[in-house]
Amino acid sequence: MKLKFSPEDEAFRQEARVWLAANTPHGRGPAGGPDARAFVAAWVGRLHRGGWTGISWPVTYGGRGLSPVRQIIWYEEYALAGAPTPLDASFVSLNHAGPTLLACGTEAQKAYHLPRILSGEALWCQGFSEPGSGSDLASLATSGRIEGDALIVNGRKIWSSWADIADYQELLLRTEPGSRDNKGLSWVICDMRTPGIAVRPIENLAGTSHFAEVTYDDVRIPMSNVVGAPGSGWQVAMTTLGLERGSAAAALQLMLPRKVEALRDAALAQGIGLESALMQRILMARAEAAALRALTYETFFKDAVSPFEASIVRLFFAELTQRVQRLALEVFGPGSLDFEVAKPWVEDYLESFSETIAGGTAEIQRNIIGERVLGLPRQARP
Amino acid sequence: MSVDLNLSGEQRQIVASVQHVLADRFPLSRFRNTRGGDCDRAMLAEVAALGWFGLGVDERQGGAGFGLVEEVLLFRELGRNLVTPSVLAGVLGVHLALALGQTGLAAGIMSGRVHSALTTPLQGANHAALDSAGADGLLVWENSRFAWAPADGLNAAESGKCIDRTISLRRIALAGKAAFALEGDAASALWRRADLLVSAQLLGMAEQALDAAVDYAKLRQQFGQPIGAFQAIKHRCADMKMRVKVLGSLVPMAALAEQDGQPDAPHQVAAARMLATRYAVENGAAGIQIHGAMGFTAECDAHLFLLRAHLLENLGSTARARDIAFASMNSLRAEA
Repeated sequence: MKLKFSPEDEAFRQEARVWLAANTPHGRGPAGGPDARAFVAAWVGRLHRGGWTGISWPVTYGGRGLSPVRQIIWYEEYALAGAPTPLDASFVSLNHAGPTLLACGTEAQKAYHLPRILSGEALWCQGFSEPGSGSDLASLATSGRIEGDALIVNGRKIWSSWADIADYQELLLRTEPGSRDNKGLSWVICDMRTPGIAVRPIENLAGTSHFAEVTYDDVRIPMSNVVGAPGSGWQVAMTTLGLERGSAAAALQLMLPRKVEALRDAALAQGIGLESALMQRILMARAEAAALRALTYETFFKDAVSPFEASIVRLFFAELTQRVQRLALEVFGPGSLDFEVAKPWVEDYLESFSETIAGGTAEIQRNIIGERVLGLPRQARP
Repeated sequence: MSVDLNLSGEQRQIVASVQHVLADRFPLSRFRNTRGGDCDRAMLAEVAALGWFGLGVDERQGGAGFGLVEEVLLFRELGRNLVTPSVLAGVLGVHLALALGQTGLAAGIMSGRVHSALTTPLQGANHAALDSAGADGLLVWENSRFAWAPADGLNAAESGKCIDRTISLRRIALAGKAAFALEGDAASALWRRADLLVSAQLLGMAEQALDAAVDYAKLRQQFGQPIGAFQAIKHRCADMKMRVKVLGSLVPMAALAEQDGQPDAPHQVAAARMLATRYAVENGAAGIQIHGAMGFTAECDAHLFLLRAHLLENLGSTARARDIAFASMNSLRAEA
């Protein structure tokens, strides 16, 4: 066991810090719509020109080919600089669509898409859940009928974040008629500008509209857009979900300690001292955030006992985030009635309810931990 | 690679050999027939012969030449098998003696000639000496200091009933007895070591409570299937596993930071102590619940982890850990 940064790593840290100090935009980007797209594309573009996207991606595809150590240093500096949340319209492309292509895509798919993802030119969304297939994802029904060298897609996807402003979608389809459960699925790159796609943004409980329902009416997608073998979409989707529940959230996880410190400062400003029960809970949350940092390091620098252990980190991060946001509302008290007075805590509190739902609900994560990590038996199915 | 959180081959060997000895000499089944049976001199002499008291001590000072990280690995295993706090007293006693230049005492403890009992403030002027039968000295860990006190008069001391009945407890009045002590700021490094070793034991206990609960949930049948198939039980087990994984990543990370003298070490160590206490108690209680009525019996091991967690949570000072966690919160920023 060792955790020592080399002089070269420290030089990289300095370089990142200097760049971030000069380039980090102040304030938040717009919550949704075309303005959000413009903000995100500009920020990712600037990061890319600075050499800060795809730090550990291969040079061939526009990355820098550096070690995971440099990647995590960048995330820590990013958090320290108070840079914009990575959970924006570039999150899917940079954190799980891109890495899924790296792991499962063809040479042509990688050569075309990865550089565009890194430059911020292409933004992606995810099309997995359906109105009738949430936790039971493998029951999905949106179909891709093979006609010559194309798939003809019909059906509906939902909870697709940023679908209204995305260029591409990671789309999970049933491509073998009559197949059941996780057999006969394909993971497909869908160009969101293809005729037959309609996107309806859905307002969430925080009053913002960054997720959407997407309908497909005879949408034609070339077979060359299938990632992995046709019919093996479940395996590719598990790669995506493994990333979504694992390394994708690293930057976000490393931001949480700073968030708790900001909450501590807000509490002190409200006259809440060390002796108060509220501050004691903030301290406990900070201790848990220290553990979250350790877990994040382990994701990168320790061999996993089971790939399903990623669900533990996902669950812990989700519930800790909710605890922190709930504490914020208590810190602000009546001030939390007004979005502006307790900015950005009220909005973040409301948004945090998605944490234990998106990417697999907390209940599904606990099932995975129980069955796949601990080896407990499955409940008898009807 | 400059960052690697896997155990080294040598560290894996240490863990394996400790596990081997514990399975042989300190199986949990030893509590079924006897209570407080860990503290006899023969057993502690054996521990000394294995080199555990000097594991994290420099070779030039008569130790095995490993560091704090290896001590933490050892104590995680000691926690799993609920080994007597006298081992903690011995390890802390060696480091205390060395910090004060008492090399003779350090050598005495490492060789097994000197048996020390962990001693903690009780209420009023009283202290509790734990598993102190036949002890030569008391390692006192109390607010702001570590002290070494002679054990004379111990046999006349009144016996109490410890919340953890596997441990014997004697009520003693210590006033003015300490032979030497490390106080204030000078004690802070030893305090962090003690907090880490306690956290490591609590981690091992949380882990053992989980393993026992999962084994039982796979075995016990109700409604025609193992109870672990039901989400109500499965999700409790998942939460127990989450606590073990979370604590299991923080404790070694904090130990590495402390060993390397990183500026954020005080915060990480305090955080580890805060979480360890809470999680071990929660896992202990969950383990009892999953075992149902069996879990409420004395013959089931489930309660042992909870009661030992309550014993360990009262060593040192939880309030101190919180104060340090508060004061050192921005340490990562300071470093950066």
